[in-house]
Amino acid sequence: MANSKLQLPTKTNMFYSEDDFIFETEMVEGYIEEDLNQSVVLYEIDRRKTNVNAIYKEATSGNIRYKAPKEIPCMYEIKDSETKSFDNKTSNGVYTQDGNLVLYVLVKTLKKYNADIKRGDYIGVQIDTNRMKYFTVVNDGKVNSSNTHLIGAYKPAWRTVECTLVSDISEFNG
Amino acid sequence: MRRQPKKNMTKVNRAQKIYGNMVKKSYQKTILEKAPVFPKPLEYDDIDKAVFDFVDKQIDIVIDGELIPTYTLYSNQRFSEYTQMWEHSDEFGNLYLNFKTVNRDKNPSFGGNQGELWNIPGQRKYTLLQREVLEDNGTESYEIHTMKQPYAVDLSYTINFITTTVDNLNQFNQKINKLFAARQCYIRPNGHFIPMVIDEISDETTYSISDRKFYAQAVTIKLMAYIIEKDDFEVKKYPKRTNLSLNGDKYKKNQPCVEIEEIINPLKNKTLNVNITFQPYHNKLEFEFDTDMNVEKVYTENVRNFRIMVNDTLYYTEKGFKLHNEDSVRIQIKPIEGEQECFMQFIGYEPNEFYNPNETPEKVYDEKITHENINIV
Repeated sequence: MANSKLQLPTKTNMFYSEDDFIFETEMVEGYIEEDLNQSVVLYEIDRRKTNVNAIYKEATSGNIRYKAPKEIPCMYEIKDSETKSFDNKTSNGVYTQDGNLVLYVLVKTLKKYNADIKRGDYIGVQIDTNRMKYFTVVNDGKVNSSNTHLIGAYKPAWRTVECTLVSDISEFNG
Repeated sequence: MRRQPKKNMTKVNRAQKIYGNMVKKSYQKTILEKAPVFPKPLEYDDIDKAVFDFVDKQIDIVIDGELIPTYTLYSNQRFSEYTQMWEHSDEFGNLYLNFKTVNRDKNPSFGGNQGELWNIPGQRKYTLLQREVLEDNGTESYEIHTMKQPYAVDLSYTINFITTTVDNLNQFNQKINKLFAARQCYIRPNGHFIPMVIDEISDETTYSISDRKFYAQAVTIKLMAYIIEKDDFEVKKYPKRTNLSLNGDKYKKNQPCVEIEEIINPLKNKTLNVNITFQPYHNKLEFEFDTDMNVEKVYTENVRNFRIMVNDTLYYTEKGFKLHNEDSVRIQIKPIEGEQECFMQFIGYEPNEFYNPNETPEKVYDEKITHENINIV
């Protein structure tokens, strides 16, 4: 912001300043990292090193290259699982899949860990000690200008990231 | 220099090779030599199995060096699904992606295999083969193999391919298009050639922004089959000869008594002998016959062979012949000894004159003439 010519609106400066924003953000950060203790593993894709199909630009598990996985403290929610079928006509070929994963992550946290969540990155959630679920990012939450993402009606403080289950272990398996 | 006699040896071809058209005919014999009389039955489960094999073996997709599995979804029973998928699912029982499924509509309709003709008149059985067989007791029987006419059905199968990449989808579609390049593709359940044609290829993929993504391609196939049930065949034996014997006791009462009444005609025909003498060095004779006569036998002496023409028609005399009044008879003989007389005798009877040998008229002039000799020189 130091080099930006744009200035934040000053109308609320009398009641809520940058210092207040930093203070409250640090409180939320402290709550997530020390009290809530939820975190996910971010597998950021290295777009330059990943090999993709020349025509369809598809990637298989063995061809995707990642940056070093990072454990990102955040607040997350996994929706209820759903039972579906592969054969829509007869409803045969039944499978159950996890619901979507929704992450609430502070912008400050991402900066701190020098990470960025982009659409197409993979997220691993430790379900129990020896089981991990992998999701792919469908909405990276970069567009977070809605009121709900603001703190003190001042500026956006966090991102809501929506992820869905990876298609198959052949696509991504950690 | 003394020369050895020329060797003249005929080589016997033990192999008895056959050439030309006989080779073609021998193929037919070889093929049918051990051929069963009846075709094998063809029922729904045979066709379902053949279609599954077709999808599994003919549409073989290899992804990452592994042949992808095929599942049947013929049954709606959950257990049928689980038993197939247990081996290919994750710890939560969910299938790994990249697989094929086969499903059949449960409403088979009237078939078009025979041009959609209604050509089955009832439940008749048609003879396929009739052959003679030797029974254990030494008698011969006819063994008749019959079967009902197969009826046609159209079955609709759906092949689903679930995959994660377009590359795999291309592989699948190319296989399908190649197999059905000639419009129809054949499977052979139990040796019957059953044609299949593609009805539709549809994309069943659920396209969604925030959902798991994979491709689902469905190929609907119309299979024009006919059904032969196991009960449609029948083999019956009929004895070649029927030996009917009655072992009756002649002293027993109520014994059937068969009496044959023979009616004997007491009247007899007047017998006739026509004696024909050929003078030495004569071998032809022509005369006009002046009565009716049935000739039963021709007796000859010093005649090697002869020819009898009646009204310019050649007569064969082995089984007798008939002469009528005013018939023109021409005889030509070939004598054994030309310088001697030849003799020929027609032995027969007059068909129009009868007499009763048991009856003796009172007056002598009423007596019937029983025999007459006619001499021709």
